[in-house]
Amino acid sequence: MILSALSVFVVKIKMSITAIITMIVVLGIVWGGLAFFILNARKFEKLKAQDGKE
Amino acid sequence: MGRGLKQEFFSSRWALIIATIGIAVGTGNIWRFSRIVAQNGGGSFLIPWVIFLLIWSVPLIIAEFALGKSTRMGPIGAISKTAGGKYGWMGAFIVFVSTAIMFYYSVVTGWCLRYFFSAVSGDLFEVKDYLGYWNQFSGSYEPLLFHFISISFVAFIVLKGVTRGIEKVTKILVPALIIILFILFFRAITLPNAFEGIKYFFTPDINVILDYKVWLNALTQNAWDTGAGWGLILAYAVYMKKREDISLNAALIGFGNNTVSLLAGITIFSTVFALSSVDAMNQVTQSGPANTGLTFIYLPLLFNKITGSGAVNLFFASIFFLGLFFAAFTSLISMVELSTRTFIDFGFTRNRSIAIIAVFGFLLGIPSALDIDFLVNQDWVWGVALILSGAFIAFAIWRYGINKFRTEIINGFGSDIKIGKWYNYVIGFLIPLQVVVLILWWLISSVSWDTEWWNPFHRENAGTAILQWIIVLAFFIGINKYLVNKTLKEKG
Repeated sequence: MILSALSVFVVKIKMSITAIITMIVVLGIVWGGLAFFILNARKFEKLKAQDGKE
Repeated sequence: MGRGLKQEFFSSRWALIIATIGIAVGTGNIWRFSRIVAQNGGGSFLIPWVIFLLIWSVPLIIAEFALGKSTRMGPIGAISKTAGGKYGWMGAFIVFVSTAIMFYYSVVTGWCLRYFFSAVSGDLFEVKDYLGYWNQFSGSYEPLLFHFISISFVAFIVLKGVTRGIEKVTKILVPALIIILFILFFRAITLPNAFEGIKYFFTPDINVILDYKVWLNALTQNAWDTGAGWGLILAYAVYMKKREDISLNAALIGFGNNTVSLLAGITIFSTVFALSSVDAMNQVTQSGPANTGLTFIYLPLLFNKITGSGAVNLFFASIFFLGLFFAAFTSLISMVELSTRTFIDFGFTRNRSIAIIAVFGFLLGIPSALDIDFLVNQDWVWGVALILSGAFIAFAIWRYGINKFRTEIINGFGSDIKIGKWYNYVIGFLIPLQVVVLILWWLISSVSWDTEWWNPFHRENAGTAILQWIIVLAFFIGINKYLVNKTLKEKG
């Protein structure tokens, strides 16, 4: 699926490899980072709620 | 607390995060970010922009959260307690800079509201000359009315308090803004030819990436659009519970803010490239009066062409300006809260503090509402001063002891994740280095922009900024003892 998405960018949109790498790095760090921190915050909130009950 | 007031707290971690995202996400994410990306070579700009998120924005947001949570005071009290009473004037300067921005930001918020009404009523699509329409609006008394509406609404919300006012409103407006951005994002990327915009947005140019100006613009964009170093996050952190974490929340704010910038950037680039019949890049880079060209002059023209249906176009234009208004409004709330917090620290009641701020906020915003040159001057002077604000926060931590601050406060009670020693190097070395380089570059560039760079009566040059900073700094240094005594005495 990832490969087919990449092929769309390369073949159809004619995006250069450097542009694709930039897109993956930038979106990966910023959006991926946000998702990672949200998941962690949820995990810690659950733990804190459990500690509170105990 | 002054006058025995009960300490309020944000009801949950998510309420705090949403309110703080409301600070960070402002009009700068939507209109300034796209323009700066376009002017600095698209993808070439994004790489340094991400780096500065990590070495400027997130460390300073962590610092602000920690200062507010540990001292339970606004910037004057927080800096006095950490750096020492001799440096309370630095906190006062931080408050002043954000308050000076508040005066004209209320006017900008009013513009967004006015354009939302124009879009909803359909007036915006009957216009033939959008520049003329903008000039007619900005040259009239209408901005004054909308400035009054903005500051009055915000004052009313802040008056209600943290949980019943700020939290309640941001819990509605921030998610609504995100939903609006997603609707616009999906519409934009499904327009024919939209991918040309995305291609430009992410394509780096190796020659441009080596240009120091791109790096400096990436730093200033991070400093301005995340709200790091403004003192606003510090003011909200006063109301975070003791069990709340600092570092993870700070990372969420920084990354959340930049996520919104990327969403807005892709949306605007896709729309412009898909619908522009002339040179698309020229349109994105046009500053226009007070940097409004793209948003208030060119985008309405594009919204008119987004589909074949007038009603659908009207819907997209309306939600765009509504989203822009929400972004501005939630940031304005935090600016009013910062000033309010400072007055509360002086011993004033919340009601009296807000009455003073609303009246002065309205009065001192009048010159910006009536004269766009005045607004541009203030944006120039206090926008750059934010770099000094960030430096003062880093200095306070350095005076306190960076390692002690990290281990005892940031990694103290309630912390979910522990921050390592890298933080010491960022605050002690990288932030000061960034400040020195940025200010020097700014001074050198100013000389080439204006041969009379020393003349304080020019709209945008070094002279006007330096003179206004000196006046404010001299005043606060002069009354430092009074400020610190009054603030710390009230706190007891």
